[in-house]
Amino acid sequence: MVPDNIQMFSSTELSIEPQARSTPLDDIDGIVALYQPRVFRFLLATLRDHDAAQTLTQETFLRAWNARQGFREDCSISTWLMRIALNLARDHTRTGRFRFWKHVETTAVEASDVASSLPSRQGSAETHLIARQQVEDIWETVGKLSQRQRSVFLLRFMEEMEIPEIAAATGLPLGTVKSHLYRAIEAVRTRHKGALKERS
Amino acid sequence: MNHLTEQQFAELLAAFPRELDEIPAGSELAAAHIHASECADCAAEFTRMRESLALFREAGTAYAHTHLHRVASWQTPARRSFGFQPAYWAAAAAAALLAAFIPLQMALRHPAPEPDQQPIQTVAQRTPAETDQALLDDVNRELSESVPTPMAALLDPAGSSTEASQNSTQRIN
Repeated sequence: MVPDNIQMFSSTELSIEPQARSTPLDDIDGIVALYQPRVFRFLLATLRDHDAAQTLTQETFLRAWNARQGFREDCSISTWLMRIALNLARDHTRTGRFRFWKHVETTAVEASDVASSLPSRQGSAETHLIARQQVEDIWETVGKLSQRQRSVFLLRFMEEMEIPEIAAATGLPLGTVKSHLYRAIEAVRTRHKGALKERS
Repeated sequence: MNHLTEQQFAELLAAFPRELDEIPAGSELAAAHIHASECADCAAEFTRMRESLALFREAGTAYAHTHLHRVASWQTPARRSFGFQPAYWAAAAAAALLAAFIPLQMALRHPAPEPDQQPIQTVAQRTPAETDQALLDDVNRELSESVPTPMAALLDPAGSSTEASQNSTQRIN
């Protein structure tokens, strides 16, 4: 006789629905609220296209949601999201559609638009103008970097990620990350010095 | 006096301020850091670059923040509802129409077999002898006629030609 407190399950019932593991990404609303600005900012600076950045930001969180069971927590959520965003951006730039629309540039982000977003501080108009010019110079220089250099540079100076985090997000060895970063810095520095000479 | 090399400058710039404070004393990077604080030229350039990068981040953040408002609100796949979405409703209407139309078409193409009607069996009701006699009578009647029935119209060709000429005259007039 089977005791009343023991429920009988068939073997099929037991194997149908394994208990889903709870993940930090289950609260997707909270994750989106917290990380959407960062992901969007990174994609916007990488792709320089409003529409593409918006689409891929949504896609990043959709991919994260669908793959949340595979998140092993061996890196932070931020790093994991950046890795997804980076892969999406890379795939996007490889398509012919991107290359075509890059020429059209209807929704492209202009360096002057970014520079004009700079909040005005107390100071002379000339100081503000110089600051805007500096931003424009860096924006344009970063746009001319190779894709890897640009990604590493943006993850470091826009997203303020640590070198090991960048290595985790890009899947590159630490030494390679540093190498790309130093080259990108050197390109920005060269442009910066040149612009300074022109102004003086 | 030697200034910072490109590599040293890049290494210093790549490090965050808190990381610079943690550089182990006696290392090459620590020596570069000391130089950057003592050499006026290197210090000025280092500060300018740091400021420019900070401005770059500030402007990029402000710009992204302005345009982030245009991003549609997030909705997880599980929470997507079937509210008024034209595509769904159009598909449902098309399915309903097909469901009503296909059986109708099938019914029109393959009508149900009508109930068996009683054939008129006039011939079968006769006896074989009567049938044979009737057939012979028909043959005799046909043979006795001087002009076969299909050629009866040719007996009076003048009448029909007169009518035809009258019609043609009327058309000319």
